[in-house]
Amino acid sequence: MSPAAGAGLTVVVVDDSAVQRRFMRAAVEADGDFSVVGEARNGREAVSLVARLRPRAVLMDLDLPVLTGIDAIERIMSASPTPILVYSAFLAGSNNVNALEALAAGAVDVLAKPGPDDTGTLEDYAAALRAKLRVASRVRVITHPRGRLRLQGMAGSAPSLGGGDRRPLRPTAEPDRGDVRLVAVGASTGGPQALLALLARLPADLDQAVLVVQHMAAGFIPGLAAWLDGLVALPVGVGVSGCRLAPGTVTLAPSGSNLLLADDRLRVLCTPPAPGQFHVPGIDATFASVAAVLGDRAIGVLLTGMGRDGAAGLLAMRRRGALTIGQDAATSAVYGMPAAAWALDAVERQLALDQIAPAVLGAVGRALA
Amino acid sequence: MPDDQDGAGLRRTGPAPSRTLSPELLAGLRTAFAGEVDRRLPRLRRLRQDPDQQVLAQALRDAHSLASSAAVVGADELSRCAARVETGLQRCLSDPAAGFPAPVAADAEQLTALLEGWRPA
Repeated sequence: MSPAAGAGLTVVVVDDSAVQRRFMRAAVEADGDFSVVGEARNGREAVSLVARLRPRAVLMDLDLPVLTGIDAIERIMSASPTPILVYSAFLAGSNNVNALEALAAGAVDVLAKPGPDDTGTLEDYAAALRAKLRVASRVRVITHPRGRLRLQGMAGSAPSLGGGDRRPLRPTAEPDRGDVRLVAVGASTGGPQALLALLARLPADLDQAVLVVQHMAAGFIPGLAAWLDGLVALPVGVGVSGCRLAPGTVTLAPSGSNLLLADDRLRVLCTPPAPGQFHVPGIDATFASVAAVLGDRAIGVLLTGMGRDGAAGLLAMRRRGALTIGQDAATSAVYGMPAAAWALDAVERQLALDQIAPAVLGAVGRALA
Repeated sequence: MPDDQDGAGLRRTGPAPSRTLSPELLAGLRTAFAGEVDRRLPRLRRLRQDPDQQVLAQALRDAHSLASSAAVVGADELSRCAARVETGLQRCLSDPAAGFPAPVAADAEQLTALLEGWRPA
């Protein structure tokens, strides 16, 4: 059966709670473009319903009876690949690794359930949910057994553009990149999987520090750090204001503020977002600070994501002589941010995901292990 | 029904969206929540009688679900209490030797009391 047509953006809601199903349906259908075409109460029902109805997107709780959310995602992505947006209760004190496991299993994005201490209204939540659902529905998904997410699989799962598209930035000359100290990476939708693919190919004795800005629902960044830390050779942590980035480590920007590079000792500072800044932490802010502090002693990488955050910052880096890399359209879950950067002439090399780590290592005089 | 509102109870997106749930939607959510309370409360009461790991695991699922659902219907104190119980039960299950410590039992008792006193209206 082909995906449901003629009903706008069709959605299947999966939750064992009648309250949550009813709320999610109302939140989704408050916009006439959306239509909830089915509801499932457990993971097994979800797998069956998605195969039968072929919705444009699935909105799924992670904590499901009969078949867990993670198992359901794996089966859906194996049998009838569909963009899945998961929501999960953010549990204070927990690293919320389950949410990251869901992304590893093939879910597109994660958001927190409404909580009693949320500052916004339920309508704010509903609007944010629809925005994420709209983005998720546009993501190109592929048959996605879990094994493909592991290192070997990622290397072979996407078409490569060989050496990649490369173009000069007029009128600067090829810079000398003999003293690169930092690799700055920005990502949004589809980012966790792309980050895993990139970081897993960097060696434990890397001489550079890696700074990552990933757009993610507040509270889930520590979970992302814990998840990556368990899967890649480099230690992964969350940055705090005043800390210094050490060579051979990966630091994630925390939720709720921008993480800026403050000086060439690689000290970072958390600063409040600008008024109206949509994505927090912002990639542009971090990249611009890296450009100002390190110039050509940095590498900028802009991975998959909706929107244009990071494009201007990457341009600033390129103008200061940094090597700048954008993920290509073929391997991006959403070719938005890298496309915006490409349009600005901010991207020196546009590469397939599996080519980015070799390019980074090549630029710092290292070979891929 | 106002022309800017759909049958689902949330106003359609537009230049002046409502900031509150419609009374109809909220009433429906509270009725559904009452059903969840009826179903889960008896299982949470079993925590009073020297619970084994199976009872703790089921109570964890119940507390988890109630924490989220209560937040949607505006029962914030109940939601926070359920989240505390969930956190406590997670610790119990990850360290069976710890048993069912008194602070967790006290939170569970408070949750049970809040659920027993909850009314949809």
